[in-house]
Amino acid sequence: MTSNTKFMSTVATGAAALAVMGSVSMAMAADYPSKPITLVAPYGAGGASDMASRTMASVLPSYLGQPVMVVNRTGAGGVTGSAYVSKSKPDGYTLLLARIGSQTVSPAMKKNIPYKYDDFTMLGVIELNPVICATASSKPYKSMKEFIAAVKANPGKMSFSSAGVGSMLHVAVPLVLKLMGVPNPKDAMNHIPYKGGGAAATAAVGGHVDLVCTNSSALTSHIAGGKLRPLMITTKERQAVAKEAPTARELGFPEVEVLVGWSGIYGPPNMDPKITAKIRGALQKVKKDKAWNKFTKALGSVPYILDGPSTKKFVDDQFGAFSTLVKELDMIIE
Amino acid sequence: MIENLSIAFQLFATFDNVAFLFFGVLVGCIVGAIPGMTATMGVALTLPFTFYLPPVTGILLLIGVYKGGIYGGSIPAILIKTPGTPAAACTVLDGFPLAQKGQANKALHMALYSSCFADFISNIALIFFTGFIASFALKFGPPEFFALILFSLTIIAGVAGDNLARGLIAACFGLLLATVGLDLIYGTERMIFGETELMGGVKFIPVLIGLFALPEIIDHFTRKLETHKQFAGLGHEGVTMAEWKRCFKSVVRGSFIGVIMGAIPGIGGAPSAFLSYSEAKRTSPNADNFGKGELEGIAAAEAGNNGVCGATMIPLLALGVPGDVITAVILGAFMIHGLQPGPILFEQNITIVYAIFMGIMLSSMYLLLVGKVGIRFFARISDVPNSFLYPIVLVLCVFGCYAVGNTMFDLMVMFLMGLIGYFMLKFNIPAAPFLIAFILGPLLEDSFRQSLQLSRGSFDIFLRNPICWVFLSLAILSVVMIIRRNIKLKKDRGLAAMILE
Amino acid sequence: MFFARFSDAILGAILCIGSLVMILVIIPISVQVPKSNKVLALSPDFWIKIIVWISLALGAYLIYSGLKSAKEQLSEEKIADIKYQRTLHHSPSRSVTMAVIVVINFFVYYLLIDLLGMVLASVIAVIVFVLMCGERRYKIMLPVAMLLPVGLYYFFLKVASIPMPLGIFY
Repeated sequence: MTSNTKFMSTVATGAAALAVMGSVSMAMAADYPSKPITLVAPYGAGGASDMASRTMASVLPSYLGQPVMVVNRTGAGGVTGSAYVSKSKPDGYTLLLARIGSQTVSPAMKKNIPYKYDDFTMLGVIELNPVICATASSKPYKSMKEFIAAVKANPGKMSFSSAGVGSMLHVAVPLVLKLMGVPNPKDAMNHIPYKGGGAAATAAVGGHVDLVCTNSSALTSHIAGGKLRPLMITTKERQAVAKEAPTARELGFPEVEVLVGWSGIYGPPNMDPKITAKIRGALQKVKKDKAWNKFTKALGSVPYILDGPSTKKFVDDQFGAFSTLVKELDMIIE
Repeated sequence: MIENLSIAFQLFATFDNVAFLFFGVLVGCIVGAIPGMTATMGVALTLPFTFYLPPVTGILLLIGVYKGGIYGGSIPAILIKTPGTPAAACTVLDGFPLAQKGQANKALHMALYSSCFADFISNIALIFFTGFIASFALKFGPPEFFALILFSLTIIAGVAGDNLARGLIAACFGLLLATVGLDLIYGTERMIFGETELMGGVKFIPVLIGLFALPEIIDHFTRKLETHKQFAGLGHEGVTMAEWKRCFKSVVRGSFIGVIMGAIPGIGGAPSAFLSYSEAKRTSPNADNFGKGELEGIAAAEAGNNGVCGATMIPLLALGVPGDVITAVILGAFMIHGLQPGPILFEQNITIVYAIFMGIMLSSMYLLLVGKVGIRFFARISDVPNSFLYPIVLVLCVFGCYAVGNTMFDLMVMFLMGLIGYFMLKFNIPAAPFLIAFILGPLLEDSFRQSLQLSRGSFDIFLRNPICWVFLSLAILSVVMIIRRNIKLKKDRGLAAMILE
Repeated sequence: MFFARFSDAILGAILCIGSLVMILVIIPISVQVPKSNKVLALSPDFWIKIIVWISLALGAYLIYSGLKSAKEQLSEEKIADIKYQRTLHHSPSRSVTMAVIVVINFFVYYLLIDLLGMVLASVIAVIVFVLMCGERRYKIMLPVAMLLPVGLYYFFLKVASIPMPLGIFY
């Protein structure tokens, strides 16, 4: 019996010690951040969003004063992780690495996901990912013009790959086809969904599909290696990673420029303005961070840190464009 | 060439490279040996450290973690029936029975030797056949993939044990569970029941741990207290030369299976291990002993999963195509340093490629070294009494499972799978076919539907080229052989019954 | 011996019932089939239905073969195996009770993690399960129960940068 009471008292001591540990970490908005911050990456390890979150997490602590831990919560094309952050406590300790796919395309297309595109505190866009449309070098299409002509001549015969239903790659091609005047853009090409952007790019490299439109970072090595032929890039100017790719503007379709991938930092809705100001301030300092700029460029992205209002406008515009498109093309999933 | 090699050697032979590679293998082994912590996690967590290292050092660090992690998974698979990493699931089949017989030491050494050997073969393949294998791997579109996976599914019969019907039942469960989630083609819901966490499907790690580790724990508590005897002990026997010779054929075969499966993007270590295992079982004179503690089974499984390690680098280096999540992370490390894997890397940075090759060769030796020491260290597990071992394993599983998915939902899945696994144990339904079906099921369905989507519903696409033909014929051949073997078994049994009467 | 003799038939029956429930209830209500689908084999429920029909067939086969073989004597090998298992395990009813208790404990553990956080819940879990194993050496048990979860917590937090849930202490 004595050993039992001893055991109970030890447990009680342990519990008390843990309780103290816990209460110390209770934080107020004024001294934010007072403990490590979790940055949720909604896509799997190794992808563009994972790399973006890990590069951000490697520099952000020097401006916020606390470690930033990247946590992958994957599933359903970024929806699982986004839904989690959207429902988290708005204390600034749970942030989301927002992406074009999970934050604008999916909310525009899928009615069955548990958040709307603005169910977040948009802290700031951090980088842009130029979108390149490319075809395998073994295919006969030398330019976007030839490609579009081929699609028009063979409606429904050619195919494009995507990272899954509701991914940026999925709306990209119908959008391009529509703006370039192909009739019935939703069914003019065959949509072949893969699991993830890497697999979609590989399918194009192997020539199993005719076209892929995705982040330049996923394609540059294949373009440099001569396996893929870039047909178009959606930035205003040509980029060094694919000099031979004409811009959409050069081709006479500046409206295509709405199609640009991005990463951003989001928080749960209704965050304390003091906390958001601190994070946004830190992001503005990261803007000048040499290491971060170097890493981001090396990954094929364009450093592009926006303040609060510009982020809101940027995201609103893109969401508006996508939701109009999917409504017109009847691509909404109930 | 010679000049490049000497520059590469200078690039490689620095203290940092050699030390970080060793450190990587060591960390990988430890991470792999913790149930729930996978090699993938280890590599992802090491990535940020490589940002500030020179490219060769950083990449070698990641490769070290990768190789160590895949091997490390076999240690808990053998000792506590909990695969540390998915690819080690197959090692459980014979590793744990051997450990129960008090031959864990032998099993661990066999796993180490065959892992290192397969790793070595895989590295050789990487260095000499990169160009050839890579172009072959790219030919795999959806229909070819479908044929390959269909053939791979026939290994279910190989690991089903002596009761094919029960193996098929397990496979059906696995296939069914894998269909949960958002539909690939239409994005509609399939058996989600309003649960957001299920949209991405049931995750692999909770299923793996729940299915293998938890039923054993539950069963432990239904045993009489007096039979809670001490862990069977590690044994002192190592692997004899005769045993190594006996298993050598399976190790070599497993290594080549690993190389081929690793080079094709999107398959990974677990199916490779199972395929190697079932091939070894099919051809071994000791076929009946497989699943009951056959050394050759461990050799085949570990050769199959470590044979993948070097080969997954083939499409990565040659084409810039990552074959799995781990190589996707390594690709990120290349890009952070401004290097573009693919033909351009061989043209512009051939010295870096050679330096990495040198490091990769060294990593096989490190693996042997770290493994040798590690086995002695992990042998301590045998000193832990069962009354502590099982609760500790449970807590390890819970921490590991949470760490992979960062969600309580995964823990719930793990516990539910434990319950299902216990039922399966009591009804003699083998767990391995469940796991294979769960891994291969989505690949099969996805490639099937992608093919039909490509052909707009025409089935001709499945016969579009010789690769499809070869694998489909192999699949049919396997099925015919399985049926013939079962009929023969029935006849033998009938005959035996007649003689007895 | 009843269970051993009829286990095939019982399993077959469970399988048949489960498959029928899937076909009649679960698939129709929980698998959405878009109207735009034209090719049967591309339908989201195509594979699921095939799998369920196969398991229905397997169930039927097991009932048939199980009932047939139940009439025969169990082979001596099998009887020996069952007897051996009996020497290891508690009586069937006690085994079931123990299994149920363990599974309930699993789910209590799960709820405690949500409430008290990973560390404290694991401390309690280790103590409870070690006690259930019949262990009474408190001098070993308590340090293990304290150090293991706390150690793992700090390992994951500091080395792997993965925060574990701390429940109400967060």
